[in-house]
Amino acid sequence: MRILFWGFICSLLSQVVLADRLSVRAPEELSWKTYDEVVRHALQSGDELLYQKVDWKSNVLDGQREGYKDDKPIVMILFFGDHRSNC
Amino acid sequence: MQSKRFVELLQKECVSVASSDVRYNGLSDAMKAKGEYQFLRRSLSGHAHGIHQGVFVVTPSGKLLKKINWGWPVPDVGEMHRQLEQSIVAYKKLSKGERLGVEVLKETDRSMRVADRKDVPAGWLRLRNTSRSYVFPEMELFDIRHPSYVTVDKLWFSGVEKLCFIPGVLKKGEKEVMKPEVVSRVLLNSHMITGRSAWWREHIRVADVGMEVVSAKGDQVEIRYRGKLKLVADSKWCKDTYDGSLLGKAVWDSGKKRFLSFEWVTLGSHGIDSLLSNMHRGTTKSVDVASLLRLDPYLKCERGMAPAHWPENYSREVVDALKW
Repeated sequence: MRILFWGFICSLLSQVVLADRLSVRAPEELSWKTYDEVVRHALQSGDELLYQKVDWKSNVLDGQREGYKDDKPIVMILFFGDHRSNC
Repeated sequence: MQSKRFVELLQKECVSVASSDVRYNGLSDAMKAKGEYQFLRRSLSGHAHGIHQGVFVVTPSGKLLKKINWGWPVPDVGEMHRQLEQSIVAYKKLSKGERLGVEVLKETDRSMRVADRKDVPAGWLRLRNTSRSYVFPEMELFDIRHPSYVTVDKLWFSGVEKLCFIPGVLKKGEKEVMKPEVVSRVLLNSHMITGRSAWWREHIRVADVGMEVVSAKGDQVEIRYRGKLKLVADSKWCKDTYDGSLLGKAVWDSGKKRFLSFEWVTLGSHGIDSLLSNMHRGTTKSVDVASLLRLDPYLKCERGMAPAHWPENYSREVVDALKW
């Protein structure tokens, strides 16, 4: 079910980034020659980093306190596990 | 552009929480009696399934405005954006009393232990992990192995354990083999694949990682790592396989006893014995995966994020030092 959060995050991305990931085959072997390309494949990049601009609270209490202080609605993403990590 | 506007709305008009319904539902009765859980229960009491997975907009007073997750398995950002905008408009139409209620939660209202109550010591080796599968046949966005998804994780080593990543003698050409327990933490906690597998120590067939000092100038020591990794699981719960290689490079400051840079990169084939209907699609059982471990930049948005497997496969020394 963790796919939900990353699906949500991925849906925030520009399609250009996804198209690159899907069309360019990363190196078959890891060597010092291919090292940087493999790193690029594993890294988050470009618009994939958009979600990092959001100051995510990891729990409801911290969210309620800040929402109360700033008089703002609270957007709660509730799924299984830590959604900033694994999917 | 739509996604950027959505993020702007989250940043400027809302407070954003990413948490676990499962963890809240699994709390003890004593913890559920506290204000935080009661607030969450009250907020979602209008939702058919109570505290359940989803994306919800609520007021600080504990009133549900909307459930805004639309689209499956690919969320409909356009519709979510519209729903969020409507929620914000609805929020602003409420009276102050309806928006905020009468009280703000206090620290004593906390129901769920959070990982950021104690900082991981600065002298430790604190790594951030990203991993992504390669393109594979029949891949669909439903599949957790799809290369559109990245697994992000954390990996920690204490100040003493950190020294295992440098050879005993810091002279150019010096070589050493990494201690198995250091490499095991990487493997058993699945840092080289996407998702998680239930590896056991006896599943590790090869974990040979060597290190070599390639230059030593003043206090700065450049180290290269090279390794072969192989796991074959054979338990009731896991029959996965992994076969990969590792390269890495780091610069160690011998004066300040810290890494100025650190990278471990792996590329390997991750095999799954049984595809699961709630996680996978198609018939491809083996997928290539690239992973990267780097010094953790400690992003603000990742505050409170512990290793996914914490505290499994961590030494007593590390666990005791970080008892929350």
